[in-house]
Amino acid sequence: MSGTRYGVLLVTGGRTHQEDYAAAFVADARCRLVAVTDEPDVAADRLQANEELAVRLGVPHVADIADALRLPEVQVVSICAPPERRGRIAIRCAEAGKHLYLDKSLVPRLDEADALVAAVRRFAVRSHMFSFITQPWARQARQSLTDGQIGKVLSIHADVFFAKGHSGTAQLGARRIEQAAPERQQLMEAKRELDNVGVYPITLASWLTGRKFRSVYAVTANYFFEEHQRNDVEDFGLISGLLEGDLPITIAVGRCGWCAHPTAGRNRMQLVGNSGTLVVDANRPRLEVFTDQPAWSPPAIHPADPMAFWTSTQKESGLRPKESWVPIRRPASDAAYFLDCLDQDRASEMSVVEAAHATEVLLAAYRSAANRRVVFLPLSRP
Amino acid sequence: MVQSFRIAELHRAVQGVLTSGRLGQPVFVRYHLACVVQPGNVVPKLAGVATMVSGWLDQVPERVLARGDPNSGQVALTVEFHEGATALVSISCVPSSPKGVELALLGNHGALYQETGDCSLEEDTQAYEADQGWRALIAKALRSGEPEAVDQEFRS
Repeated sequence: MSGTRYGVLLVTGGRTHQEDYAAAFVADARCRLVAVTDEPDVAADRLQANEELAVRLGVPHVADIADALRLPEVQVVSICAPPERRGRIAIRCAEAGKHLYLDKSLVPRLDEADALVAAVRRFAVRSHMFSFITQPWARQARQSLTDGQIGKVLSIHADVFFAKGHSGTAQLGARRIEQAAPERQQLMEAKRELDNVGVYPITLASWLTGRKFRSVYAVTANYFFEEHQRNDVEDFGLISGLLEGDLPITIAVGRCGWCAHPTAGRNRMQLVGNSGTLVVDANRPRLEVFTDQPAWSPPAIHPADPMAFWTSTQKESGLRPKESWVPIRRPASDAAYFLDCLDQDRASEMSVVEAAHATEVLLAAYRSAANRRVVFLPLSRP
Repeated sequence: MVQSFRIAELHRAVQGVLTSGRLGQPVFVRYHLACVVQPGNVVPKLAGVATMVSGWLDQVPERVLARGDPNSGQVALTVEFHEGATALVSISCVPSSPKGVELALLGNHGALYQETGDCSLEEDTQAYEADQGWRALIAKALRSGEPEAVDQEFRS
């Protein structure tokens, strides 16, 4: 099979991960971008960012998603709407018979996650949420487990930290008071980092072991950024959990500042088995390069994106890439993985079903952090 | 074969970085110890690590959750400190696994890391001076399976 066969509709544009996802689809010969769209009543700054990405990509901007979903050349929808709007948009796209490529984490509410899983099943579309499971280091780790290289897994310990943002501005000295059901996930200057980063080790651990979380105890904190503290969202979180079979797992995640790591951030998982230990490290294998070029330094703070969430604002702020660690392996295209699934008419290993479990784990973690109790899964439904 | 180090040397180096102030205020420690130890010595060894980590953070513990089973050689502590710092302190006792320490210490202005596999660990029975309060607290947390508040006596 060759040639262009998937028309991709982008829901929500600039200053989201859509900038990166769109680039990945453009790079794949199987795809053609059709348009940028969104809900018709979005705020003026969101509308402008949507229009800007459409111009940059050379595709039309269709202001109303209802009109865009009627375009017959659309087969795939890439959805990067903010978490609060993501669920209803994804369900609408599934109802229109479109395959779903979804930003992480899936949705912020359990009823939305359940409804999305039901919609994907009912309308028989394929779905996939961005995660690390498609990366070569993750695939190799799973093969090692499948081959029995470490025997029976006895415990898991994972850290994922994003080394971005100008740290050292949070006021320390007191425990963070968490909300049992977070109301805001993503603001212009801060995200809930337990959710934003935690989704990666949660999905990776479940995928590697084939086990679901059965209980969690979580703590959130404000250690690094005044922006997070002022907006009452955490910049750090940890989870101590049990997977099926009483397999202990500890997870630490967050955003810890530009200068806290030589590259994008610590991203390691240790799986301890009864006949060996498997270290899964996104930053290995690598070259370590040192030169007489000027030392790397953090970029200026972008007023519209102080945490450097987005590729476009990173460029606007003059960000130089960190180049002292050079990955030996090329990263894989997560979008290409999903297109492979469509080509082969098979389910993604990170469909809305698996992604919804991560949502449930994260919601349980926030409830635990608020109540300071162990929370058991699955969560009760009304 | 990789070079080895004694745990006391690692701890001295960490303390030196903390004393320099380069990391700012330490707020989180991940300390995972992979070693060979009899089940009966898991809690004392873990208590020794927890004592060391509390010293690095320079805060008194407020709540502790323990997961795992000393008989399986896998125990993980979640420690919340009185002024907001946290720690994940864990131990894996598996004869066939490499001995070592996985360490991440985050400060509000920087971080330090020691990765398992970079060096192996020499047995050093004097490296951890276990606080009796920690031993009792971990044993209690393991029995309950719930986060245990640290009593005033321990904190003083």
